[in-house]
Amino acid sequence: MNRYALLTVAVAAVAFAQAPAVEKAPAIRADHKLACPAGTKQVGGLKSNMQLFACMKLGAEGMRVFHGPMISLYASGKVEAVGQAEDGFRTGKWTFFNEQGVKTGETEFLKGDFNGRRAFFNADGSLKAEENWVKGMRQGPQTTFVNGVATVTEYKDDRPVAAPAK
Amino acid sequence: MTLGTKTLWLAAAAAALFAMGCGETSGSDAGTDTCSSDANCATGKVCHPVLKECVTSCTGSADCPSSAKTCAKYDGTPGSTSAPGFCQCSTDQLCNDGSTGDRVCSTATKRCENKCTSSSMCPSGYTCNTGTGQCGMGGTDAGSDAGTGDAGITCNSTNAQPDTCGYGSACTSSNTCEAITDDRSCSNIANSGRPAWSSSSTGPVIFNVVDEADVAADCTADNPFTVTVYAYAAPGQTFPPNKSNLPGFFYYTSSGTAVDIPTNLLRTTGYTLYSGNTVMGAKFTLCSTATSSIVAGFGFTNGNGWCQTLTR
Repeated sequence: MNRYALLTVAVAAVAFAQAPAVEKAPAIRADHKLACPAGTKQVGGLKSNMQLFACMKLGAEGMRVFHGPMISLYASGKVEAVGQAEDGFRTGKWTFFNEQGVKTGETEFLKGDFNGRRAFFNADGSLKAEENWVKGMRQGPQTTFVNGVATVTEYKDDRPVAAPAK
Repeated sequence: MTLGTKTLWLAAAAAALFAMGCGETSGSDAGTDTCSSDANCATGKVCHPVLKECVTSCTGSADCPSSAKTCAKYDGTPGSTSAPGFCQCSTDQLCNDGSTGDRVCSTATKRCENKCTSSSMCPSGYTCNTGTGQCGMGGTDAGSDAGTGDAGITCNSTNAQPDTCGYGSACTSSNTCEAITDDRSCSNIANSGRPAWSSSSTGPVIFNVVDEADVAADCTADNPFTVTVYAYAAPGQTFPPNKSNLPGFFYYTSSGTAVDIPTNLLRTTGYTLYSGNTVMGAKFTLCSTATSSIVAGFGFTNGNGWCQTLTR
C-alpha cells in the first residue's frame, strides 16, 4: 500500500450539490446602456458584428481597448457572458450562459487568466464542479460533484499532489 | 520546428474521437494482448494506441490509483461509461509514491513506467533517452529536434491532435509526429516576458496557425489580417464551451505587448471546438496599418509561443 495517497476525499455532500433556482441570462435590449467609466465610450450592440456591448478607449499603439463592464453575445443576440475588463483584460467575476439562457459557469479572472474560483453548473442549477486557480494554474482543492457526492483533489502548480504521510 | 513544418500540421477539423486507451498504470497487464482497436480487447480492457496492447479500462478517476488519477483516453478526452479510458499519470513524483525513484510518468504511454535504460524497453518506434529515462519519438533526444529525429513515427492526422504523438508534439499531414517548440523567433514573443515552455508544461498547445482570407469588414480604417489559431488542451483538460471563458489566450504585438484575444478579438462565431472540446480553433482578425504583411505572436498561459507571418 502506498505511503502516500492523493488527497481525494469522497463525502456525501448533497447540500453542496443542491443549488438555488436556475439562473437565467439577463434580458438585453437594443438600447442597453452600460455604466462606462470616464474616458471610455460604449460600443457594440445587438446588431453589431462585434457581438458585444463594451466600453472602449484607445490604448498604446492605437489599439482598441475595452475597459469597464462587458456583455458578450452569441450571433443570435443572446447573452454569452457578463463581466468586465480592465485595460483590455478580463478581470473579476464573469458569468457564462448557454444559448438557451441557462447559467453554465462562473470564473474569476485576473489579467485574462483564471485567478480565483471557477464554478460549473448543471442545467438544474446545481453545482457540477468547483476549481481554484492562481494566475492560470490550479492550486488547492478542486472539487467535482456527482449524484451529491463531492470528490476533492488537491493541486499544486496545476498538478495533483500527494498528501503528507500519516 | 520551422515555419515550413508548421504548414504541414492539420487543423484537426472534424477530428474523430480516439476510442482507445487503457488501464493499468505500471504495465503489469501489458505485453500479452496485442490489439489495433478496442474491438480486439476483452470486456474491461481497451487498446492502448502506443503500446498496441489491451490494458484495463476505467470510467472515472475513482477507478484509478493515486499514482495515476486521471481517467482519460489517450487524446485527453475524459473516460466515461460509454467511452472508457485508461488511468493516466501526472508526475514522476506520484509514480514514485510521492518521492523520487526509478519510475517516470511516461510521456509516450501516459502511464507510470520504469525509467528506460535502452530503447528495447520502449514501445515500437520510440527511443530511450537515458538521461531522463523517458522513451521519446525518433532520436535519443526524445523529440527535441522536430522534423528530423521524430520523422517516421506514424500517427493519423485525421484523428484529434496530438493523436498518438502526445503532449508537446503534433501529427503532420504526412502522418508523422513532430515536436513543437516554444517559438521565440519573433520580437512579439521574445519581448513578451513569457516563461519558457516545454513538453512537461501544463497549458494548451498551439499546433497550427492558418493565414485566412482577410475579412475587410472586421476593420474600419486599418488593413485586416485574418487568422485561425488551433490548439489542443493538456491531457485530461478541455476547452470551455464559452469563448469568453477561454483562459489566458493572448496575441502579442511586435513590442511584446499582450492582448487578451477572447476579450478584444474573438467573437463567439469565431470559436469552434472539436473532439470532445480537446481541440479548439479561434478565427479572428488583426487590424494594422501595414499594407502587405505583419508578424504576429500567439500563446496560452503555460503553453508554447508561436510566431506567424500573415500576408494580405
